[in-house]
Amino acid sequence: MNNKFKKLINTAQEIQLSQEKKDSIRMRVESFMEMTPLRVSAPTSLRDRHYISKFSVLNFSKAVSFALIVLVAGGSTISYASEDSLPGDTFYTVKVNFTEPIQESLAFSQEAKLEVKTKQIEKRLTEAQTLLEKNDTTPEKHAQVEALVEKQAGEIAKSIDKLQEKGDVEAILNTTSKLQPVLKAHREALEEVSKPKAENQTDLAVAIVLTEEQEESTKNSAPATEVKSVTQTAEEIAIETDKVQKSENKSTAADNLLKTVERTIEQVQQKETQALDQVDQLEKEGLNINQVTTKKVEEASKEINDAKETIKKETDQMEVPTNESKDIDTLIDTSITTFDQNLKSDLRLLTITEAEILLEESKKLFEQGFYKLSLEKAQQALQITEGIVINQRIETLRESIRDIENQTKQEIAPEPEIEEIKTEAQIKAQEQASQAIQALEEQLSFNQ
Amino acid sequence: MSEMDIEKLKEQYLKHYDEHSDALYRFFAFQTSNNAVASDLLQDTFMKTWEYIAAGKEIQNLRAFLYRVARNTLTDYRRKKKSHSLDAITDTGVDFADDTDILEERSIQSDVEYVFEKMYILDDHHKELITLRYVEEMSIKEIAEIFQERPNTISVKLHRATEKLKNHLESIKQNQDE
Repeated sequence: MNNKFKKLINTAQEIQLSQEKKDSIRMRVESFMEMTPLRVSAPTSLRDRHYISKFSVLNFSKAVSFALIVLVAGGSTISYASEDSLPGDTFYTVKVNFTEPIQESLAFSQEAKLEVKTKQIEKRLTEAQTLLEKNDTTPEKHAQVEALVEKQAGEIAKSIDKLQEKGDVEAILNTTSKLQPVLKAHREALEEVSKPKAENQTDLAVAIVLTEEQEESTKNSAPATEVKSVTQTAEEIAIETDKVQKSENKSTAADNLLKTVERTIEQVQQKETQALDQVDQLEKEGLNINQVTTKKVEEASKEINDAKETIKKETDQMEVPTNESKDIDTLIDTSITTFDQNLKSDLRLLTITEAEILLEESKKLFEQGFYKLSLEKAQQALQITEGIVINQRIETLRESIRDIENQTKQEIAPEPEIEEIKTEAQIKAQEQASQAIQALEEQLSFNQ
Repeated sequence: MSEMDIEKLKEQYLKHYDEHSDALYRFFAFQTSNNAVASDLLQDTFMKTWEYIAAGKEIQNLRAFLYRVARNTLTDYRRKKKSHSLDAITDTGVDFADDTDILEERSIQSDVEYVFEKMYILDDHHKELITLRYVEEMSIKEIAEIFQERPNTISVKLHRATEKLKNHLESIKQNQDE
């Protein structure tokens, strides 16, 4: 039996990653590390109690992959510099077209990809916001950001569709719950920007009207001093109108972006409601097994508690007779029986702890959503406790039978006088027998 | 943190990769019985752990932490896959998309299948325990740290798993084993 076990373990221990695969994963991990900037508070060293320093010699394939790593690492300085770039910056295109798609391709599952995409759309919106705050917008820059936001939103919708095909509702809800607050926050901020500042504008309009009037009056009568002031105001007006132009740019840009964001929010909400419908259906299906499991878990924990209580009662009762008994024999007898019973209750406690562990596991599984496995565990726990309960019943039955036997024995017990006579007769018989033996021995020694 | 410190940290982390990647790969291979999935999960584990380190969170025992991340990754994977019966696994087959040595790959796969076939009677939890205790030869204490449970609980479960596996192995006919 042990040989088979050992053979299995030995085969298992021999399994290793192929060197190529090991190297290629190492490379991917390393480029991921380059792309995940460390926080200032990151630890300066990694501890590992079981760490054994080993120096492995670089073989050929390792050398090749090392060269590749150097290439990737070299490229990463640009990626890193582009991290905070804005539309219009030199590195912005690097970021949007190079760094971020790589980040996305490194994510495995659809869910992880969605997470990356969510982060990216959030970044785009923040970028747009900073552009607006800086008052540094041109229609071109904004069109770029807007297009990117729209593209990202479309991709997110596609990924969600894929998840829906797979039936991974949890992932969808995860994403939508992360995405919605982000989008809504940006919507509010954009709404504020897109509102044209009415006071400013009316003020400016008034100023323009006034200057127009002034201009007309100066055409009629033009003293030198007034002409100067007119040109000054004209310059001021030019600056003001430029400002107005810019803020108009700003509000239209914000307006457009706002519309895109609102569309995206709508899309996301739609996907969410779809996912929620699916959840409802799944829940209806799962409800039955769910209910059965909770019931079983409750039953098992109740049985365990009952069994514990009865055991406690038994042990409490057992200690009483030892104090009352006087006879050494009965003392020994009772101590043996109490020892026996203690042993039995200990064993029962052990099985109860086993049942408790099973129940704990079942509860954990239940929380994790593995209802079927949870049900199995709960049933196992229940079986064990049922076994204990049955044993207890059998034990009590046996005890009552013993009681009845004792009672009947007492009733039919022989009278003591007869016993005494018997013993006397026995003593006589014994004496006679020993005498006979002595005589025989004497005869034997005489013969020799 | 200086540039030098960052480089040192990265170097250390990659050393840990060299040290533990085989064991973690084995761990995933036995739980999933699929080379491609095992490699993917391995990569994911090391990336997630690095993200954690990069966020500036402290890790007391990296090996135990790696296994904890590995178990979470595995749980996520299982939840997504839901049914992981033997049929489903043979249906999925092996992904040879990589340009690795196919022959070598195949022999590894058959070993994994051999082990998996023998261990399939165990539930996921027990399989993980047996792998860590006997294949990776970890101490009960360390396993308890990974599972975040009491050592006594681990002992009881491990005992049950070993008994079950041994009985199962015993019940397999001799000629089937050879």
